[in-house]
Amino acid sequence: MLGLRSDLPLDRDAAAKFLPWIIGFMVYLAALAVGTAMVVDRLSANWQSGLTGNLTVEVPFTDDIGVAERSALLDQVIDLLSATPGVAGTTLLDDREIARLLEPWLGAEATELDIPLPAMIAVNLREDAVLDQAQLQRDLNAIQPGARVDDHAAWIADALSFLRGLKLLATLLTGLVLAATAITIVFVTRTGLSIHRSVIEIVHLIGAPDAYIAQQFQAQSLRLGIIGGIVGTLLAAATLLGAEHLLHITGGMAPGGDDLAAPGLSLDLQLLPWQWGVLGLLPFATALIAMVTARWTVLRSLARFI
Amino acid sequence: MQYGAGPQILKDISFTLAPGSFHFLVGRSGAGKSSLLKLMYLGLRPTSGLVNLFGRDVATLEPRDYPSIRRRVGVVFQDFRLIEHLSALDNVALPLRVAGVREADIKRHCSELLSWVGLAEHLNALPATLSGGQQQRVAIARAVIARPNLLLADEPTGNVDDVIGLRLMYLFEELNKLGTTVVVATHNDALVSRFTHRQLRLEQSSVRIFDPAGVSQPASPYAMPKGATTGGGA
Repeated sequence: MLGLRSDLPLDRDAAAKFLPWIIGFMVYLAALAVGTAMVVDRLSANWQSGLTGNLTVEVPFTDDIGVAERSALLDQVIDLLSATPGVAGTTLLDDREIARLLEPWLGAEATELDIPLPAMIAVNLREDAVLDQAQLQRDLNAIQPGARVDDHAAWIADALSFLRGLKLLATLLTGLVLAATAITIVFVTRTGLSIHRSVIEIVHLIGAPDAYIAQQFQAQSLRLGIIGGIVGTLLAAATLLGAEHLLHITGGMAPGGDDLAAPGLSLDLQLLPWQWGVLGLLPFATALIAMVTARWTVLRSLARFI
Repeated sequence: MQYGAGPQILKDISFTLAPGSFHFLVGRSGAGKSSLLKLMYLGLRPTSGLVNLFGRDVATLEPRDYPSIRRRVGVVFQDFRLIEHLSALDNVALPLRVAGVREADIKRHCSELLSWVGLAEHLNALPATLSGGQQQRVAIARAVIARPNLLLADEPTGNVDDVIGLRLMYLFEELNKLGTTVVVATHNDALVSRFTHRQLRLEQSSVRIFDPAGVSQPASPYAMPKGATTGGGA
């Protein structure tokens, strides 16, 4: 299939010289899109499980409440939560952690402001927990009116639909890039056919079937497709690793970082080994598309020759 | 036979070539020698009339049937039609490669044949670096390498001196003795007269078979349709 000998000097055609570059560029874009789709897919799955695994309970206090009364109320809330079926554990966030959560909105000195801050309790749920959230909400209100259970559903749903959109876009982009590659191959193959028309005619008259001629074009497309594809995929892999590294050092969204306001919503952009495997297959899949397209183009065009 | 709206050529001709026969195809320039050969190697389809090749009516052939028939026909084109970027050896190898012969055998057979036609020193030469006569011998080697059933040669001795011309004719005769039907189109009367082969004479609206050993006779349109046959058409 990768026959080095060819009766047609296809490699000398100007169009064919650009082919590995074009394919490399296309595969680079496709690999980025596929990589993005897979990262987004993982994020969605992570965030989805974050949605079911965690709650935050917010307990507001009025200005005039005493320290002892406040801590008694919180104990009551924590007792209630711990007794609720499905709850695996609770963590009362201390002032420092709350300050960290508020920092983006209120600045570094949030706790020193004269604003009564609510108490925040992170609740971890068991994996199979089926929680009656409405009941919990009523029970909480009985202890302290204004207490609120937040399962992050609203904004995770927004985030997830954003991710779904991103994934759809990446998939669409991959399809478009592969289609553009196929169209390029059709163009290059047709150009090759007309440049070498006289040679093809001789080879035909000598008794070569169309498949013999198609074989030379498809071998070229396969070879150039693999070369361009591997280069494009390697560059895309470097770009993906670079992007992940960049997010790493800009902090804030450290991979695996557990943001307590939205526990489980890690921004882990790493690809799993099997996902790298999928990327590794991309140049070969592209080369295969190129080969099949070249063969189809030649057979279709030669049907019109004598 | 008619090209586009041009005048009709090869009108009302009819003849049969017996398998294993040897014919010269003679006639004025423009009489249609090359067109007649084209009809016989499926380079043209007749606009009307019947062409029968190896017992098959060309009109009923599908394009996918062409390759197997063309592989049984070796052609020496008047303008050689060598592939410019391939060496002499690779040009000669083409029919064998198309037929799927093993590469080791291809190399051996092709270099033997090229040596036989005096091109042992030029196996790897590109056609452009060869003289007209050398190119012609490459073209002939390519036409005969796969031992075709029918050999069609269009002015095969046009560019070579008499000695080489005769040598090539002997090559054709050798092939003929092995069973190949041979048609050599030429207007070299001197060459034709040195041999006793029958002549297909293309004249204005007929083809006559001239047998130097016997009497001239009109070709019979009812001859046995074995081997390569071409029946006349308008």
